[in-house]
Amino acid sequence: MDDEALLERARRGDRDAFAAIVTRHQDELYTMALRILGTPADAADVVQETFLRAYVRIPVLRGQTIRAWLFRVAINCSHDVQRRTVRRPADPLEDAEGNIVELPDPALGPEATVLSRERVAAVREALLALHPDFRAVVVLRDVNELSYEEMSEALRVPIGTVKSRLNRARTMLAKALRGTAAAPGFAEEHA
Amino acid sequence: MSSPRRHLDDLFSAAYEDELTPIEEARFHAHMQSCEPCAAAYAEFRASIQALREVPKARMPHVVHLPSTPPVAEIPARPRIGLSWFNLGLLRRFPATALAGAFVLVIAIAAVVHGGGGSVNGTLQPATAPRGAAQHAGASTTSSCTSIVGITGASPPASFSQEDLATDPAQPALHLVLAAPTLTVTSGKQAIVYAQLSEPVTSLSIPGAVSATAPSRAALPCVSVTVAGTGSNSNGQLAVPPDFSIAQTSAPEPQAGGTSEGASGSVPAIGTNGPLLSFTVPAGLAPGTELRVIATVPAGTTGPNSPALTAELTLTIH
Repeated sequence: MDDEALLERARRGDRDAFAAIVTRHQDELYTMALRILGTPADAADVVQETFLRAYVRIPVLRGQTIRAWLFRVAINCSHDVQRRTVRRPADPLEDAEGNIVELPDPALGPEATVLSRERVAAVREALLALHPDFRAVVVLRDVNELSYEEMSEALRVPIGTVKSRLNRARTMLAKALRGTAAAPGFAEEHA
Repeated sequence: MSSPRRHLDDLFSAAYEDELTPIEEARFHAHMQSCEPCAAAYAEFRASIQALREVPKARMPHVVHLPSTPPVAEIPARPRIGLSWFNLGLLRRFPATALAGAFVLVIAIAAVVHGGGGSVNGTLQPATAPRGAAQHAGASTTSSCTSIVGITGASPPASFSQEDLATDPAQPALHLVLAAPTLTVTSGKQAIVYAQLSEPVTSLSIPGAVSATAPSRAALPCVSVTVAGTGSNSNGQLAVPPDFSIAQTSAPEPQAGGTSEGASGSVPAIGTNGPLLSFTVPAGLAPGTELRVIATVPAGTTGPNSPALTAELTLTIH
């Protein structure tokens, strides 16, 4: 059953239909919020808040792409968190060096998890170094794989702006990753 | 005129997405073959995207908690004049609690009105049916918000993407929403916010009725706007006009519904007795000055032990 059908059932009071929407989108929203905020606890709060707002605003979702709308709300919530939160010095989900302890993905074996840790850390730090607007656009496209139309709706900017902002964000990300574990070989090849 | 290198930087994303026109593509690849720095930069560009895409997806660490009641849509409730359903019901069932709640509200308003050394408050002042004291000696004397009143309920316009939501854990279906289309406002211009306390009323459902929505009751919370920060004049006084106030209005801003919902006709008709409030941002406020919009429902309003609900948005002068 697609999102629209589930949404229509939810409008008629079907709580299970809304729960199905939550199940379908919660992980991708959490991934986005985690990449934007860098803090698992804040990202989980954003997802919770996003679905609570959606639950309340079911009527105005008619005719909209719920996926894009959910991302829009989650981005707004993330920006709210960014505005009011000073990075916590001792998040329980960070290790002694301040690195975020990624929640283990059962789909990955322990070896793959170890091998990818440095790359993940490099990408995470490069992302967090970007301006929030650029961080959001590159996460939506290259992490969550939203279409330009969905990004335009989620970010409330024209598609042309999405594309130009994405190009700048990717260029900045490439520079930030230069020579890191996420870009192996470049330090040697292009020094 | 931009340099060739700069120009190709601008094409990297389009090239990666295979969005170049045939002419652009031919030019792009010709340049890549002849310009080693550009070729290296593009390879780096592609590698960074690949690295980002290879980062494993995260999983929501815990269950999303939803209200225990079914999701319900808000539809216009019967317009009420005077005391709201909250107050009427509460007065009948819990007169002492209702009076206590009113007392708390009056105290809160008094604290806001008389305690703000560096701020001036404009409190709710409906345009169509003014309540409470007239504004005669500056905005700080406005004390019209003495009760939570029933209104014609409506959903927030889709363009009101900036929201704050307050709920009572004991009554998760009851919620206070404060929303605005943007968090930046212009000094001297009108601003609009949405404020509504609503609760679904399943008991009013008609068995067998074909309806996409369930009814809800709605009320207008107490809403105040506080100007704070650096917006003072040379005398150290805030440059806020004495008639600074907010009033119910009938329509969101002209561009509301900029997404596809406009075509679907889902934007609810919002009357003057609805949840939209407008106020004119005082002129002369410096950029960066913050306006705190606070919607409040005092403790005891929605039940004998219900907590106070507060939703807040901070608008910034740009």
